[in-house]
Amino acid sequence: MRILIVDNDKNTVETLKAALDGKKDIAADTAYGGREALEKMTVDPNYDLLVLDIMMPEVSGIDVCAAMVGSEKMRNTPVLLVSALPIESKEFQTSLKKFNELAVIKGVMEKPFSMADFTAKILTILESAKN
Amino acid sequence: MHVKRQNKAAHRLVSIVSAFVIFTGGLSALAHDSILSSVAAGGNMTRYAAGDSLPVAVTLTNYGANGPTDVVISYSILDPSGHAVYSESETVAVETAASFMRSISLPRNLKNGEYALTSAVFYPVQTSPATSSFKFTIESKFLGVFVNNLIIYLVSILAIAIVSALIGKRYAKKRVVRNAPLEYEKIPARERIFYEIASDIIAQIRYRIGGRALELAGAVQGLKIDERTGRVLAMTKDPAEVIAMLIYHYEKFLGTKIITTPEPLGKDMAAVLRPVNKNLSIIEKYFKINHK
Repeated sequence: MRILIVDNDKNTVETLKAALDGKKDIAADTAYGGREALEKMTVDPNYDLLVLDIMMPEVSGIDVCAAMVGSEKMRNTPVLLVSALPIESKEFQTSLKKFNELAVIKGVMEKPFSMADFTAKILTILESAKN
Repeated sequence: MHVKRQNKAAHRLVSIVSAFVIFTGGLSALAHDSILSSVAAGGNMTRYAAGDSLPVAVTLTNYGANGPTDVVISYSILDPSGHAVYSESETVAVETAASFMRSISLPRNLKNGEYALTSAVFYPVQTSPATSSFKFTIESKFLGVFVNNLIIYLVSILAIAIVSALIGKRYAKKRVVRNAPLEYEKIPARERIFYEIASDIIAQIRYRIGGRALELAGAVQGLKIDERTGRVLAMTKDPAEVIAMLIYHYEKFLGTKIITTPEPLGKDMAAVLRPVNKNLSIIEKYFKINHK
């Protein structure tokens, strides 16, 4: 399983990568911004999961989602959205149903979270995608 | 006042009375003479300066007199060692009683110290004079105020000034902490503007909701602030994200928009605020806050 971790915060990226590295069958790749993520996915669209932050300079996580939805090659890649914003809130859950550009989002995790919860969530989404 | 000149000086009863002081002298004359006398300070003061007028209250009583009698009253000022530094006398006639005020000019050369004014009453056929006295002190004056008092006044004024200054300084400091824009000259120029924006937002919200503004700011990930002043100590995440989150927390708490971007923005400022505004537009669209 190939996972692309996308966040402009270097510490977050490294922490999440470290949590996933060594997990059975998981290979974590990194991108330090939305633009870099899209570039990587354009070259190699076969990631099994994107761990994506929302607020990033220039190209935001929402922009990445919108680009993925508009791309045949990328739209089937599930996204785990991670953010300090209240993405587990009722308002954002409503937005997930309402806005088409968010259709690739298959899970959300509000920062801060534990690495155990994070890996569990990753495994759940990957399992769902398989089915 | 019954003061008359009189020549007769036969056997008279002597008594000394005073409304002001206990006699310090003259009692020895009681048994043999017929006139009592007293002198006392003519006012409530016991402190004078050299050159001042010393008011003296004199009381003479002629008990059992057959008529007025001439009495010579001698006043002396004795220095702390008991030496007379000033003397004067006068003659008054006493029939039954006399009570009057005298003003004695204190010599200008008197040094500071405790002095005594003594009076001695002389009249014919006396065996010893009736005497009395009271004490007073000579102190230096400056601008009409006793130097000792002046010191007390100055110390009091100084103490009041210090206390006022301390209170004023504390109040001013509090105002500075709360009102003055915080400076971030040590932060690199590229990041400084974000520190200043965050700091100004915190200060403005602090005006509206007080200390709660600091608590909310302290909860923003990537933002470290001084819990007392609201000063931004560090931004450990993307400043545009931190500021957007700060605004989001405040708007959510207040239920109202807190930022209205002035138009038109300068080119530099627009570039600085673009990522912040982008984050805010995401928040506005996907995390709708119910503004009042």
